[in-house]
Amino acid sequence: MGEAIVITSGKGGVGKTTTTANLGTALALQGKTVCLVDTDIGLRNLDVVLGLENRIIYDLVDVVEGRCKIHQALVKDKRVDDKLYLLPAAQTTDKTAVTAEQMKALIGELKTQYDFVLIDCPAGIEQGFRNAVAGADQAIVVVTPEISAVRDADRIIGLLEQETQIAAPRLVINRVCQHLIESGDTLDVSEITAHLAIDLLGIIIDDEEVIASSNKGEPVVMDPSNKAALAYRNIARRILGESVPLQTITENRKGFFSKMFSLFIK
Amino acid sequence: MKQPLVQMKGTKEGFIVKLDEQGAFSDLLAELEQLANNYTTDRHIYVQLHLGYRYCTSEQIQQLTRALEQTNKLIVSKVSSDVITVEERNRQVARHKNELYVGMVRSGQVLRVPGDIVIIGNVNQNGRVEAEGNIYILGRLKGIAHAGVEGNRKAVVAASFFEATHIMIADVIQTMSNECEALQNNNELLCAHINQQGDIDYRSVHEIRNMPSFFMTAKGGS
Repeated sequence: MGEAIVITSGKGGVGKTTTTANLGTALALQGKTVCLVDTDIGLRNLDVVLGLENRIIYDLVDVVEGRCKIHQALVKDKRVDDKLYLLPAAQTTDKTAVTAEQMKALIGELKTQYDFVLIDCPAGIEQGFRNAVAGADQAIVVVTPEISAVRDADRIIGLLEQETQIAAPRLVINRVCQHLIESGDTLDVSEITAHLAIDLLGIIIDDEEVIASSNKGEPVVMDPSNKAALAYRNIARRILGESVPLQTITENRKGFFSKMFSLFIK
Repeated sequence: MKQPLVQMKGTKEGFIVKLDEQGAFSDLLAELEQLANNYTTDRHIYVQLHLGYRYCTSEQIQQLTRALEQTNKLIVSKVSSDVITVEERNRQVARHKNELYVGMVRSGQVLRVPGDIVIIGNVNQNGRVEAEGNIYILGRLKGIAHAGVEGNRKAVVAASFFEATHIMIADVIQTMSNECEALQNNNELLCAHINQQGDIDYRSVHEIRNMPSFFMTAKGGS
């Protein structure tokens, strides 16, 4: 029996879909079977980020309404052999097409076939959110170091804590900007974790390559030399129970004088 | 001769009209009317109505008062009774209960209790705590706290760290509490209360025990 993890944030545009795509791929690279479920009905993106848009035949609403079997709707990602599948959302209807009970049954069935079911949650706290969390056992809250994202995350964590079947949510801080932290112009990691008071699962450094590779339809995590990719791989390992230390955020840029100084220290 | 159902006595506190607990309600009304008609002085006489162990609804109490006051000579200043309903009792118990809440009060959550509340954890921005009694927070208060929601102006809000956006006590509202002057130097271990001018003011939590509201609920110490 697998685990169902919902990836949510409250605020839009903080990187739920990107995180879902990359974590799913990273878990598949670790040898786990993974099914990604896009619950953003009407505004689907996960298929685009994964580059699987042109292979969709059936979608989540077709499955729920019994027009096809689950395995007919699943789209296989060929990059990770036979490990990663996507259940795309419908684009022609909206969030009310599915009920929380239907989602629960669907996720329950997927859990029997896969090690991990990652549920990409839409922004907001309405029907779409309730559908996404209905079948989940765990939750990952994605937040960026912005005050608005942190406020929304606080609200979402409050709602998740009321869902009794979900374990304590864990935090991913996305798009952490190195030079803004160094200059003190943004919330730092410890401020965010102290405010939200939940476990930190990982931090992802802001990297242009993340967006560039999403636009190409290939998750950044495939490129092992990238720092953000490494962060996603570390998070995947932490989900699997390994203890991996956090990456350092600040770059080691030593000036001439400090270099000289460190020579004398030796 | 039959024992009268209504007895009027003079005491140190004034005149008391004592009602029999056994007699029929209609007989009581008749006797009260008779009593009222017997007084033909020019002066108003203030009397207290003692119901004893008879339970009367508020409607019945009104009927009794009207019967006494019909001639405008006797005026009822106070009605007292030795019995209350279970429902009312439960309400009173709830009002004097201390509740303990362990956890965060997050954005969008509303925590409402009938008595006092002790919160172990932070109250985040847009989180709201409402209590009919006092609010004590072992943590950071960054959201909204409303003590004495039913109108108790003696209620207080105490917190380890005051960074609240709004503080309300009974019907008094203070906005921008986190920017107010009193908190600029020190926001640790404070308690918000209504001062004599009727505004929300802050003082150290060590002074809570000297405040009037606290004599009712304080336990222990000497």
